[in-house]
Amino acid sequence: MAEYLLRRFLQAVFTLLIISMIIFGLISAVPGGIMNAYEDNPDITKEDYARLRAKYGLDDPVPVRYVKWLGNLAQGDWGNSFVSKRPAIEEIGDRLPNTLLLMGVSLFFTLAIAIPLGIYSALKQYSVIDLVLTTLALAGQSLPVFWFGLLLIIVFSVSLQAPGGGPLLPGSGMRTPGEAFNLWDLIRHMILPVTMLSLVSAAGYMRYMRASMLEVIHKDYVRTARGKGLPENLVMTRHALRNALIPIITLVGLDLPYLFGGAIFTETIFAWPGIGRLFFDAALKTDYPVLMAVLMIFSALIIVSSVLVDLIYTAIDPRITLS
Amino acid sequence: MKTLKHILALVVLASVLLAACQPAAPAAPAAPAEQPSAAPAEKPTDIPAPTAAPTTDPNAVVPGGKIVIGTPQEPGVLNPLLQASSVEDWVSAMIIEGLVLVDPAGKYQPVLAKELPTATADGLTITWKLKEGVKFSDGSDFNCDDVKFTLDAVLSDASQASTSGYKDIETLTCVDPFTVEAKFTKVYAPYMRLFNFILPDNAGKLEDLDNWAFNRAPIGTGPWVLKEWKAGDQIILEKNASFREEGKPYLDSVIIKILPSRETGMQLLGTSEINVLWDLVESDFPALEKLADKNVGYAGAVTGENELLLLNFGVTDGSAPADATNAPHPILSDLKVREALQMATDKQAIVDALLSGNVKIGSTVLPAGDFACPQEPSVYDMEKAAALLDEAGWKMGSDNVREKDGVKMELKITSSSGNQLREQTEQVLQKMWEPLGVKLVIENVPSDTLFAGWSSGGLRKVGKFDILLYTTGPFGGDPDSHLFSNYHSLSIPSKDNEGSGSNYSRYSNPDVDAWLDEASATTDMAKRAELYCNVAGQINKDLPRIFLYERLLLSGYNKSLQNFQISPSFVDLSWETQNWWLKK
Amino acid sequence: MTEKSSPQSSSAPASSKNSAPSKLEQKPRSFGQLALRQFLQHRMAVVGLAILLVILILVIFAPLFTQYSPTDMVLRDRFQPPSASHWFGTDDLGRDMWTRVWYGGRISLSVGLLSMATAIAIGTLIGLISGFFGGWSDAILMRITEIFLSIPRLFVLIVLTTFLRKLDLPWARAGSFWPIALVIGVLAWMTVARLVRGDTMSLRQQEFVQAAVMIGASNRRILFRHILPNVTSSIIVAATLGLAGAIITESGLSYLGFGVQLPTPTWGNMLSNTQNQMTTAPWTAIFPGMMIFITVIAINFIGDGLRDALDPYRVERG
Repeated sequence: MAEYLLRRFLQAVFTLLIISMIIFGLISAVPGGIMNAYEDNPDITKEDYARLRAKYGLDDPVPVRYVKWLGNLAQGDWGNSFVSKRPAIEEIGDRLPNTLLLMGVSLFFTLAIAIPLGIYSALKQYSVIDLVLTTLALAGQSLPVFWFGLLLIIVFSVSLQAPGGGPLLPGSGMRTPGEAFNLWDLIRHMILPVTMLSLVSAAGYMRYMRASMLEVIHKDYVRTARGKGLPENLVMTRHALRNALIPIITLVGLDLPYLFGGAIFTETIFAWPGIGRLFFDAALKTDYPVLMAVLMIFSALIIVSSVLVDLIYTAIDPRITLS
Repeated sequence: MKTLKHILALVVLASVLLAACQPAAPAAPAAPAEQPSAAPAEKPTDIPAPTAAPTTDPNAVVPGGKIVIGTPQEPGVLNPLLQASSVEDWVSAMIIEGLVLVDPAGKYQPVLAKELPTATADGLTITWKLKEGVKFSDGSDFNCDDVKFTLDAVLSDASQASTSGYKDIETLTCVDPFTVEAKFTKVYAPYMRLFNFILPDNAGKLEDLDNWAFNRAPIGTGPWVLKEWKAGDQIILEKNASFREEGKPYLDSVIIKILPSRETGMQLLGTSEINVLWDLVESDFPALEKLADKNVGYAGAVTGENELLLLNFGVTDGSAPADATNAPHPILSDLKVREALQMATDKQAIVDALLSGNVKIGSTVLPAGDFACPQEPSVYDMEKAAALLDEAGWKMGSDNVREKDGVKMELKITSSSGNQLREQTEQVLQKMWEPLGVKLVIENVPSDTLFAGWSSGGLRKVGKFDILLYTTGPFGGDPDSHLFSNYHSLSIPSKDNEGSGSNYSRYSNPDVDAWLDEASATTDMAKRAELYCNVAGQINKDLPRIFLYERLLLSGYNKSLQNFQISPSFVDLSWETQNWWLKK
Repeated sequence: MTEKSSPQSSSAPASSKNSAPSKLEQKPRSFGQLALRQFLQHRMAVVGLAILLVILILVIFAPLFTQYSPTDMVLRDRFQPPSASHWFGTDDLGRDMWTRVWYGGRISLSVGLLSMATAIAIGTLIGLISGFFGGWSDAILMRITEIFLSIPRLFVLIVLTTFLRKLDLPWARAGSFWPIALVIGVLAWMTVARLVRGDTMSLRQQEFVQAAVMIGASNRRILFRHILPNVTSSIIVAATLGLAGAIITESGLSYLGFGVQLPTPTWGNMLSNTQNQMTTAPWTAIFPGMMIFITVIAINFIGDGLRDALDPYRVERG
């Protein structure tokens, strides 16, 4: 096991190095970048422009810039944001708790909704409820997410009124502007974004859960277990569900990095100050210290969660071996 | 497949956000403008003159309360030396004031200066008289030393502010603590725009500018003090207790709330969640009108910019010719063709259909300000347009596309993608020009690609386009730098000048060059106005650009907020915010 | 051994007819016929197929079903709600939405189906190999998957379009749809690969696969005859969900100046600007959104039917 983890670790370092090169190269190849802000300003003189380019370190060739970036990173320095001048890691740190909160709570509700409904749907295949759930899930995947979010805002933040006056639920941000933190206020602000995120992703999870459950309930070992006269509940949990969970674990593994990465759509619609938007804003301005920091941490999490998923596979199905 | 959703997320967002941050309003400081906001903004009674004291209001001022301003973008820094976006400009203008700023009527008003600066006859010495007894929010006094520090700061190496004008100051002398005298090495015509922000001389060491605490906690003389900045969420401003005007600001606090989705912002504008929504565009008019019954109104100002078609006179192979006459565009280099295209463009129909008729059609490069130079609007006449093309030798082909010497009259129109209004305009133009035998092909690119600079081979810079659709103009009023960088032949980006300048049409007219040179060498306003007007007239004859409609700076707000106005300059909605108050 | 045989391909009902009966097949009727019969007995699947056919007919023969052209605009008729003359209303430039929806389906369906097939094909292959062989092939393929998952697609697309613009290849110019479909597919196979790998790792150890290994069946045979049919359920879900994603993503590529350019309608670009018309003209989004939804749900039911039809256990019982 230790040897396996060591091997995965070495592979991870190598993979991350390759990823960092590719990402750095791509970002540098995006035309324009941060200097576009000065391109159309007639009061910025030629000399100003040249000085600014030099200040941003854009005069060096891309490989030199990459090596400098990597060298600084080796000393724990992610660089400073081009836009806010603050250390990139501080920008991330400010938004990390908000992102973990929103994404964590949403993932919890996603799974809490999707797994039971998916199983139910599979066990009652082609029942009315199954058809309704299928339809809703697919509708959720076909309509623009923007719509769903705006609809929630229109209904709960504009049309419906709270008993004491004012909108029923706040439609933006994570606390009432100008007011001190209080838990109830935070929960009220979380309701709409969490609802949107969990419903939209639960739709996808539910489909997978239903499909893999359908797949296993006809399998030999399940039928054997049933034949042995084991109670239906036990058959389902001990035998069917364990194997049916493999795709769900794969998917959770793919989603885990987003606990850090955030959800750009939801954060935008509901003005949630998370990392998804930090990334997006940085992408618009080609603020590469921030972009690199977000993307590299995200990539590292992709790799970590892929190791985790492999370990969980072996726990769920002991016959799976990791060579 | 989450991955697919992810691309979509980025792309749709890009379209939403980019629409909001076109370089429509460059972060350039502004200069005089004459016309009051000709914008359809409000009924005159709703916009009091800037000087009208709130005491004359029949409803007595009720002090206190807070308001929330929604903005789709977040500032990165609030230090004018480092700012690079319009949101940073107006937010910092709530805290940091300048000597002279542009008021909602587009005129220069002394703010920290006692009166407008005066120039000597040779235009080489400018004198500012400063207001006395003004304090920065940290308690230190405002005087000539701060002006001096600001000049040093602008010219320091780490500064990212424009040095135009400042770099021509030979010496800046404090005649007394409240009199500033600057000697220039050469005439700087738009001198009014200088010192539109003043930093306290204790702001920090200049060589360490990027690390100043000031950058995210600025100190100024303005009505507001920054209390808290929650990254990505909100910036809380509280009233500056030592503000120079007694009893002001009226409000207790102003909260800048980051609302990345303008659609969300629009919805919330009708509720109590936000009071003001910054940076609307003309296509938001229908949605705004729907909110009228919720007491939502809008304030706007004509910025001096036009939504326009930029026609390329040179070849489109990306060779960036310095002289387009030697390497002409196969179709657009012919004046008759350009005239025909303008005649076939029903500007009023575009404005009526797409903008609910709320803006004026474009007719001149100088629509507003002290230098306004109205021109005769172009005439929409399809027959004449067709006759012009016949005359120019473009014969209608069997496929209903004209051709001449084997060249088809097929033109590409390019804009930044994701901007719905521009996409609509392009499609309307396509239909308008179709009967003329002109085939217009839409090929939009992301704004990064469109606005990229010389070193990244930006398509505007190297001339790889037929027609561009975007907004530009003398933002704020003084047209000096805009006209020079857009129409002077020295501003044609080419190898020789390392791609500097914005004369993307590769337009060159010796008369225009001479007028512009003469205008930038005098501080005589009347003379300058006359010269610029000559330029405006000539541009309409030579047609390097077809002006479609005049742009507005727009914000929506709940009308319980009193004295809310827009300055057609970088100050934007931050004009005299000390006078804001909430009517119950 | 309960495994009999299964068709090589699971992507279309037609292909099951062509699959050769296995040598181990002992029933009088071929698996393909059984599967087809099973499929046709599947009520929802038949309904799904019927819906898809109707959509295809309307899309392919769009001009026969409308008097308008998709690009004819009448500016004074902007945002007309659905009526007798405009069944689906008009859009932001006064064009007939009914017409645009059917014309728009041409590109959207082509792009959606092609890119989905690309993603599924790549993902399935990588997942099968990775999960079955393990060891170095797994390590290398999964590291590649991780790299693809890590790289922000927006940057890839921007850089790719800039590059293609410079090269100016005739087949990659704006307007042709299949390069778009390939790009979407090539950037979207990772989820499928990871799902298939997970299932394969579990299946590899099960008796019927071990038995096949023991009797000396070739790897290819084991992978495609024994494992693939048992991982189809995840693939089919990924395919239905991916189809919707691909149709919407297409408009994203147009945004980059790489996809279909205006005024050519696609379901994706019809939807892309509708968020600010949500309260004023909801039909501009409802109809294209509904088309994507109906297509996806039809494909989903067909997929369900296919899976049941191909399920070896069901066939045995049938």
